[in-house]
Amino acid sequence: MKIQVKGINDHLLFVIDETLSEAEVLVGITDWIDNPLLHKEGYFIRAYFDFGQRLLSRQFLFALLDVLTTSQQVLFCGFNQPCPTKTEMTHLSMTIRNGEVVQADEDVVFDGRINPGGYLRVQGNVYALGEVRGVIEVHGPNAHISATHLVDATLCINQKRLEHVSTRTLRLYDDVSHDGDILEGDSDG
Amino acid sequence: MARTIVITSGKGGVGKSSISVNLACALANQDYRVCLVDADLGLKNLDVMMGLENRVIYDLKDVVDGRCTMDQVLIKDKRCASLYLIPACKTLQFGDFNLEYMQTLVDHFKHQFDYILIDSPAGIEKGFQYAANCADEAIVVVNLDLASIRDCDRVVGLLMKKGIGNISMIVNRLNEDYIQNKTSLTLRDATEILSLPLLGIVYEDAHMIAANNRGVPVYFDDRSILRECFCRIARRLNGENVNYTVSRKKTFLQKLFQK
Repeated sequence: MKIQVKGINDHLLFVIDETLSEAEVLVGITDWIDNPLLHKEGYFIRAYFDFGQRLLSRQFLFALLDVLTTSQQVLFCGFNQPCPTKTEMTHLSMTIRNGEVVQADEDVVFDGRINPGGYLRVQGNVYALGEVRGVIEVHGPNAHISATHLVDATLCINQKRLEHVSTRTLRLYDDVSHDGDILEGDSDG
Repeated sequence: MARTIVITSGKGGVGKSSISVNLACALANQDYRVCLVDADLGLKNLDVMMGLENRVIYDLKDVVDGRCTMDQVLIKDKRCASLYLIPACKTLQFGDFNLEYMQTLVDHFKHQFDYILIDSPAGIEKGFQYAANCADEAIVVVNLDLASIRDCDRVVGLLMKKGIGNISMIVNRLNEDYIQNKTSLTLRDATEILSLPLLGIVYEDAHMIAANNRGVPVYFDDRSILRECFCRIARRLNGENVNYTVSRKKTFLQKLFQK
């Protein structure tokens, strides 16, 4: 296929072969846009166009925009698809007390305290630098917990629980490629 | 303008009421005007512990029902001229009480006193909510056992969520023998877990029980070390830098002939 259309998250990416002529590109794009599959009632699908390594003439660009504005089926968003955002890391410095639950959707560096009965739930990895006496729960592929000071803590990785953990400097990871058992990493406690 | 302090703990039976009464006496003895509020609606205790049970004419229910004014509900202490008690009421339930009543009561007395100490009931339900919502500061009372510290930790989190930033801690019933035998937790455990400034230590002393039963606060018992404990707590509350009381260890003979 000379023109590929990929559906990525909430937008379409038109990947155009570099060997096609400008006229062929315009015809191909018009055919795709007229396809009923792209016709959605109520909203316009966002579309990005990847022309690869090719020089685009001013004339061609205007012609392309003409096709898109005439058809009114997609929203022209640009020539490059958005880059996926890098996973951010959150720094938390607090005391999580009994009965409190702190949640985060990204990796967390935690240099506070988690008291007994306190919960830290993270969609990602946790690097705990302070004293942990409560519960750390992590979810996600290759999620792991690195902690420096655990005192009778509970660690949970993707629903797998390890209780009464007391050690210094422990790194736990869930190796899903094997049996899925929790493996102990470095430990000097 | 009065400092409004709620005395709470979470767990019941740790000694909130005893601490409230004796701290109030210590502050009044240092010439501060103190109003002690019994917020344990339905289970009033402070009037019993202070020996003022027979002096209760009006209580909170009378105030709520409009049978008396707010000033009429105040009971002056027998021993301290500047100490007053607002007793709770056995028949009033939390469902009948409104938070606004409590707030109105506290606001009414704020200009008349230097300290308003609110003795909170145990738990974290309505009674605690009413007491804490009226306060600007908090003192949490904790024993050196796991359950007490855990519950206290929960309460501290709730107090912080209410915006009470000035929270300090009193360790009650401290027994050095238990600490040495590792029967109880240590002071360091409590301060580490709770991460609160230590306002004071109150040692375990049989004089406290006797005093509560007699209706005379232990603060007035010169034989007990607890008087010194509460004196120092009151001074620390006023911003003084005071050493913590050192317990008077019993000699071998004292232990041998201990009743």
